[in-house]
Amino acid sequence: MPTPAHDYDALPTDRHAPTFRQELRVVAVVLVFIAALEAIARWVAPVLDYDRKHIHALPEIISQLAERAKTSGHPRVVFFGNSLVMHGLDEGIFHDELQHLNGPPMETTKITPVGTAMLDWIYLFQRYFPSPESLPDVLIVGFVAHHIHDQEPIKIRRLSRHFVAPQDFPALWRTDLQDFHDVAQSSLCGVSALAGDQPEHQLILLNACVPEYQAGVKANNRLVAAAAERKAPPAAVAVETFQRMDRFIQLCRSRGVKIFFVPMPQPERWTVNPAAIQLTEDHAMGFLDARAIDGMTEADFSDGYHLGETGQEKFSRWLAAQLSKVHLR
Amino acid sequence: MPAQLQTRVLFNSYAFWIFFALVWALYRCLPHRGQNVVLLIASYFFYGCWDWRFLPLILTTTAVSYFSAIQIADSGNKRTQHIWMVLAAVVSLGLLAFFKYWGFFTDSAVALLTTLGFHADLNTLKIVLPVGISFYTFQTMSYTIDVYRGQVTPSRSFTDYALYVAYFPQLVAGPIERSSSLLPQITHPRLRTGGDFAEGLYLILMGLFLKVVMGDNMGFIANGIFGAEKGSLTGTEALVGIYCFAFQIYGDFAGYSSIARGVSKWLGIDLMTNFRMPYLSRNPSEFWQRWHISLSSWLRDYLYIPLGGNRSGPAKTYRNLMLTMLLGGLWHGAGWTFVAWGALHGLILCAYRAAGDRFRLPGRWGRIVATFGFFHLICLAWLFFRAETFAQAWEMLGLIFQNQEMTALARYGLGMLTFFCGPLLVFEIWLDQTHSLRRLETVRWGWRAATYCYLVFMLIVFPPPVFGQFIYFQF
Repeated sequence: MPTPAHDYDALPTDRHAPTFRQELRVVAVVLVFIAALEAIARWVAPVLDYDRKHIHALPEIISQLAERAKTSGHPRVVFFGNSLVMHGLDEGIFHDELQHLNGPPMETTKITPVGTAMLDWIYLFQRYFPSPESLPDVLIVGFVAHHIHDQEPIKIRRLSRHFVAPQDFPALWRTDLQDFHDVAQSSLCGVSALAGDQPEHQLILLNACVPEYQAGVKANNRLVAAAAERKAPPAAVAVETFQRMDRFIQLCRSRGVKIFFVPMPQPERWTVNPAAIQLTEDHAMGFLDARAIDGMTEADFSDGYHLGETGQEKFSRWLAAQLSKVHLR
Repeated sequence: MPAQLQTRVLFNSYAFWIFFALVWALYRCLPHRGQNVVLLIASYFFYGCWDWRFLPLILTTTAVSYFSAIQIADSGNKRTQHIWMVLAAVVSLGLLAFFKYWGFFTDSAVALLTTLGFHADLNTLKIVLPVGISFYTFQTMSYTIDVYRGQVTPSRSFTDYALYVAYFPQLVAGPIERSSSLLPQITHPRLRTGGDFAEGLYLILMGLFLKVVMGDNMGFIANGIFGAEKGSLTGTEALVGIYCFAFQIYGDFAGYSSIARGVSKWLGIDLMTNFRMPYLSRNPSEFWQRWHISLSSWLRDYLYIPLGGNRSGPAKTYRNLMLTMLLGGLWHGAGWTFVAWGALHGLILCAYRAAGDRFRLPGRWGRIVATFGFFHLICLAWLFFRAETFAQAWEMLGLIFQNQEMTALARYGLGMLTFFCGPLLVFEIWLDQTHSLRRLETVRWGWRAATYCYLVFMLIVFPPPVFGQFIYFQF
């Protein structure tokens, strides 16, 4: 074969190239390194942050609830959602108020992994409530508009690592992921803590290494989102659909679990899509509207989104009052 | 919800590596002719994954240049040869002009006529740009020109020639290969050498790092800053945005070229080096020998030198430099900002040519100052390349000199630049000391393993927030 030739910086020579066998040592070291990283990722996973601690504690939380309910004979109520419910509800205040109002006794717990939405809740429910003994009687689901519609982006890594049970992966790939890349990513995250928890690893390291990382990335995200919004043609505004919500309701209904959907308070009153309300009515699920609680003001929010200490107390008492009026079984 | 699995066959996708593993396994089992057939089918499949509708386009360009070259070689008549060469160039450039520049020229004509007070209503078609058209057009053109010049013997095998045009590692974003280099490697059986695996591995890992870790992460910041509304940035933020874009485009394009070379190396075919630590250049002449080498050498051999090069006095040399760089700018994109980018580089080259080496800074510190200063000149040109309008470019440029407030976004951007690009620059300086891109292969294997562990760690832990397309696909 003739030697390829360019009259400009052409091809490197093979004089110093390591042979295939020699390079296998390098490959072996890299593979061992990846295995070590995976082992470390699995080791630190349960204590990576408060949210991971919560997720890893879910089986215990659920079994404790079941045991308490078995002993007391009271209905089991799970406050379900994300950081809105986590920050919004104080179980101590809730029970005080319930007692004060002579409401029905109940055993409660919170399942509130942050940043989750309807699709996460479907798979989380399937994974962590696998048997009839583990099922709650009532789910109280707190949300704002984007948590319940189908247009909410899927956080594939987190969903696949923490919420999808191994037997549910085929359903996830078939129903919710439309791209081979996403399916591959999901499979990888299902088996690897290194891949599944990657966003948290990245966050921790960049927080440590890059000055003002969180503030900077938030500012940049705002710029990117605003630019995308400006450039999007009017037709690109998608109509909200609620197939995921329908699946979630049907799943709970098939297992005899009653749901109360709670649109959460926000500093400004927001609109619940009538189609979502209709869906809850069609399936005879409850709807407790917390968007305009008496006396709730902007000052009750800690960051313009989550409830602060005063807001938490108002919401907890309001919710206790609402649940004291309804039949839980 | 529809469960339709789409595939993105990009170098940074899982689909590509499964595709490549299958092609490679089949390729290794076959004799030379069979290998070429497999590579050709794989290349058309790869291209078809983007858009099957554009396959006839690449086939047309291939067929026209293939038959024209044979006619040129077979004809003893210079005039007939000239006609065939012009025919091939017209078809190739015509398709490129229609698909890439039609909208740009008609929009510009409408704008000009409107400015002059005429009512113009030209119907501008919204044409989808076929991916990689600029690359394979230049590749086929260089082939027919080389045959016309008598520098290359035309291929008599359509399969081999079609593979030369459509060879998948470099089809959609280069390097723009010359027939004198790539075609013989296709027509002759490939010889495996001991170092193929090691070199391919190095190129692929380095390419993935450049693209996924550096390019895409920098791109996320650059997109935010260049997408900001008028009046919402400080000068420091604007400067950080330009730096980030400089490293985004370098990581994106050099990363693609590196992966292309690595993948091709594993198939036993050498592709040319397309980037050699370009941001360590101290002057424009050096920069164009380090940046997109396959394009700059193409422009030199098929445009600058035929225009007369530097053989006809200073005035014509400057004219030739400006024309070459203007067309180089236009090659990158159908927009006036790209033309401005080319013009800026043309002016920088002319100024450097006029000044010669008179202002050469002596010593190590002189080299450092020259490199730092010239990097900022490149960044100035990148500003016009990336800006969506001239107004945006001027506004950002003005801000840099007016408002140096250090915001959280600016500090974050500078921190990210240091974190992602700093180690790479140190590595490149280390490579540049020996003028070798393969220095890592000469060190003890433990150092190489440590470097690869770092690259793999960065690839696993620091992928970008959003899956990144390659910028150069649009050119």
